[in-house]
Amino acid sequence: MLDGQSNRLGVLFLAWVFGLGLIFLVSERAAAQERTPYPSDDAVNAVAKQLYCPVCENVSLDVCPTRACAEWRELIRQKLAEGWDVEQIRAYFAAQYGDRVLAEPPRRGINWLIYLFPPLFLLGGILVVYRVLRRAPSISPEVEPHVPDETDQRYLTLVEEELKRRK
Amino acid sequence: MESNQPLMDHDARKPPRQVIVLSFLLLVVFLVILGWGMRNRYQGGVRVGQPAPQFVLTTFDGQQVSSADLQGKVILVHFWASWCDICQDEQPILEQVWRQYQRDGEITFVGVAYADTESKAREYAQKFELTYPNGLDTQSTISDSYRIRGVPQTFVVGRDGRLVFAKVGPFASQDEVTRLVERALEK
Amino acid sequence: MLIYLGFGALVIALLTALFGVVAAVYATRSGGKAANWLESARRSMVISFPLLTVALLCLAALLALGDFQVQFVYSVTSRAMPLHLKVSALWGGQAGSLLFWCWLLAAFLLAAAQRTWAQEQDMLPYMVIVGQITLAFFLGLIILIENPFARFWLLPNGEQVAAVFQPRVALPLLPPDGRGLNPLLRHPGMILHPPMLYLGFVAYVIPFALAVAALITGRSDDAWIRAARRWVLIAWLFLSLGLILGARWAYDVLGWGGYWGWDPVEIAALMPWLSSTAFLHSMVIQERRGLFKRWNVVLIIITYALVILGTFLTRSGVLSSVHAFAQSAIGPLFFAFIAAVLMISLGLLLWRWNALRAEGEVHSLLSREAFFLFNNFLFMGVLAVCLWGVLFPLVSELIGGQRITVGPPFYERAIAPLFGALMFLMAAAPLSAWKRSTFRSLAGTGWKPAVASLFVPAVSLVFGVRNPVALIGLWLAGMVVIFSLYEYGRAVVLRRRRTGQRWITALWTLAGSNRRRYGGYIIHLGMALMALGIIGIELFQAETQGTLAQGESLRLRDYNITYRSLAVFDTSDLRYVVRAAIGVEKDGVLLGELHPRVDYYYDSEQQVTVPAVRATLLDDLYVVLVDWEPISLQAATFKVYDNPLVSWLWIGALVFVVGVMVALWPQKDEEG
Repeated sequence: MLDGQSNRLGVLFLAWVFGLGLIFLVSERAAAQERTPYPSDDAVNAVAKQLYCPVCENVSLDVCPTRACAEWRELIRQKLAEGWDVEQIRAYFAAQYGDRVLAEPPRRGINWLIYLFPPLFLLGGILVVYRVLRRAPSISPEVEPHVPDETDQRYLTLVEEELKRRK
Repeated sequence: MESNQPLMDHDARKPPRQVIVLSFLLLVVFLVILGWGMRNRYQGGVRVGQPAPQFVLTTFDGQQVSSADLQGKVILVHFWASWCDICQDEQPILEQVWRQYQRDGEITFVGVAYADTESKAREYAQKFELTYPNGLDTQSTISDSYRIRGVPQTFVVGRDGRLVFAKVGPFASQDEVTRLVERALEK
Repeated sequence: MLIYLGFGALVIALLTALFGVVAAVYATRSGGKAANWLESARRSMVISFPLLTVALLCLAALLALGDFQVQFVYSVTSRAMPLHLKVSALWGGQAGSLLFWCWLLAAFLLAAAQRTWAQEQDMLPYMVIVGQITLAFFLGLIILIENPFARFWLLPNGEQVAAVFQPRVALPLLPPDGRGLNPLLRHPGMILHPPMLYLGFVAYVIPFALAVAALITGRSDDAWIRAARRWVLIAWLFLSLGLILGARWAYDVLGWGGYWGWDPVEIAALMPWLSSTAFLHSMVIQERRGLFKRWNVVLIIITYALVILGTFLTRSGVLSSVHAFAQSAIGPLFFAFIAAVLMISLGLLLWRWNALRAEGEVHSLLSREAFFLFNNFLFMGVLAVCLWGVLFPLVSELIGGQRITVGPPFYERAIAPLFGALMFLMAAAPLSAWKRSTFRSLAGTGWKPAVASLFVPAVSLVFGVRNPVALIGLWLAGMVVIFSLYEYGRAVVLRRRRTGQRWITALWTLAGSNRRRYGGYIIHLGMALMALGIIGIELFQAETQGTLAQGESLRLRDYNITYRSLAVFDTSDLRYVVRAAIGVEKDGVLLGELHPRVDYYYDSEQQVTVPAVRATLLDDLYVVLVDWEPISLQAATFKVYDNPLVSWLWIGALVFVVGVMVALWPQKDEEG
């Protein structure tokens, strides 16, 4: 059994702890608000632009008019307010809703195929073009006609003849 | 160029066999990809009589509900989303029926929040005082395996693990659900 | 009555098409009556068109009368819609679109049947076979699966069915009103966009048929190219128009401040455009030099395959897309058709591969050919990126099981440099055109306009453009304009010197003297202007969003927009409209009022955000009403875009179309 005095002390102590906690909480929140101001629509849209709506097909989140999308934008705002950066939010969305919310497939595993294909195709194409060009007999000086200065009257008549021929 | 070339000579050499085989092979690969994609799209949802997809759902309480553990029981899988207005109409109906059958232990209801934000989904579950296990469908894994087309959508899995019932859209009345559950339990 | 008439016409058209195929097959067998069979086959192409016109008119009449017992009429129209929309709803749904497709194909077949086939008599039967099989396939789809004349019936057990003929014991079911046209499709741009696209798609059937005919008959001369040339150009014109109208529609209606989203269905329509653009360039080389023969056949086959693939992708819902229409049962049949087309084409091509050798007498590879080769290489590069981007999600799902999105960043990164290179070719190639040029000679002619073109990035720098990509892009666009004008100017000077014509006359008659060439220049000019618009919006778009109380303002660049009021009202065509009035100021000067709005359609229960645009040659101010306080109307959220130079995209498109017209205009000594 506790006597009266110690009882009172206990209550005081509790009140003190509680009060301190309250002050701490309030100041903490105030500080938090100071650190990260309420994110603007533009800040939210900048992030949403990089994400795709998980339920509608091929609509980016910043322009999607559905209610679900409005909620996702709100989620982005919340995360921004918590101090998350774009990368973290993107990772979170991908983890929650799958890779389909990313504008581009993440660079891993099978997805490398999509990034490797264009350069490979380009190389292959260059090879084909090179072969076609090489197959033709090289442009030898005898075949190449004299290319006169363009103010040269002879050249002008040459062009004119060509024009007539085409007509 | 010098046009009106004579007709092609029909004995002209064919391209090497490897080239022929390779070009047809490429074409077939292309067609397979396309055909497979089409088959996937045209499949529609899981059909009644087919084995129901297995799933593991982490509920809002942090517990894991696994279809494997529920074998021999009837499972009602309900897909919803907090942003779905018509889902709200049927939510109380389902909860009522659940409370009615909960005690028998013969049937489990599982609520799956499709493409939802965690806070909104929790709010929703609280608002309708949902007492059966509900959880977020992370990466839409369960929704994809059931090939749902939207929310709300409801499936009933029989004791043998096969689908007994599938419905797109909300339930009209409590009776409809009760009848359905009774039928699944009888089997 | 209309239903039976229309359906009957469809069935007869199908039978005619099949008969045409049979007759054409008989015509290929050398026999006494081959000529008669051939004439019958040709006539089958003539008769399809009037038959399908009857069917189309019947459907149009049903739509206009609002006979909602007809499933198609029910699903795309409603009583409240104005007449022009009711009729244009013809292509607002699957069944009607397919019928419309067939009607256009029949029109093209009719035109093809009417041309003189004297020199290509041997190719005609194959032309008929390919054309009529295609028509028969689509008619089959319509009659068997997507019937626009199917009506609702109520069976005694309460079940609803849709069929043309009354099932036994069923009663007609007449819904009081239809569901109405998808509101997104009620925009003028969207009314014209699908027909243009279809016209473009359909017209490629003819060049493809000609190429197949050339392969089968084994003619290695240019007959098919000469015959196909104009068809390809017509198809290309309509396809381009379709793409441009689609872009304009997206800009005006979709409300995301853009015109092109690299959506799979958009890409599906772009792909045949790319391959046929490559063809339009490389066919010139075959005509003049006898080179690239195989390649031209390959290009036409690819184009046709992409057209069918595009129709398939847009109509079957295989791809995830904003455009994905309702899934339907036509998918598997379509797939079989594509597979057959590709397999047979490939087989024919390989069979004739060696016969299609380039003619051997080329002594030197002229630089013009080289430029065309690069051009084709680049177009194929863009096409490959597009095709891969569209197909990869399927591959990924097949192998990795993950659904993924391939969005704008991928395409932009891969394609922008290729387009840059194409712009360079556009500028440089005409200079090399009639000179067997080396680097030195090219530089000799090109240095003056090249130096002049540096003016463009220099001026841009002065005006504060610092983005290197933009500077390069602007330079290339400037190069195309300056080089083309320089080249044309040079020719005009020459002509004047030779003929003593007046400036204006020389300008005019020169263009007339080689319409394809100078039409091509105009097309290039149009492309350069479009590039200007694209650079403007892609690289310099600015946006901001804010919630405003009445009287409050939002700033974007030099603009200040002020929320004045919000009006909420119903319209006679059953829309619920929320319309904001905002004041626009620039640099403190009041420019006027804009009215962004949101339309909610009662019949289809859909809403459309209609942006308000203030377009000038310098930039577009584009305002979207995002949200509002529903009851007090005191506050509203707006999204504002500033899209610099985007008007040039549309102006360039007009120039482009003029160019194609010039190229298409018949020249006296040219055969059709």
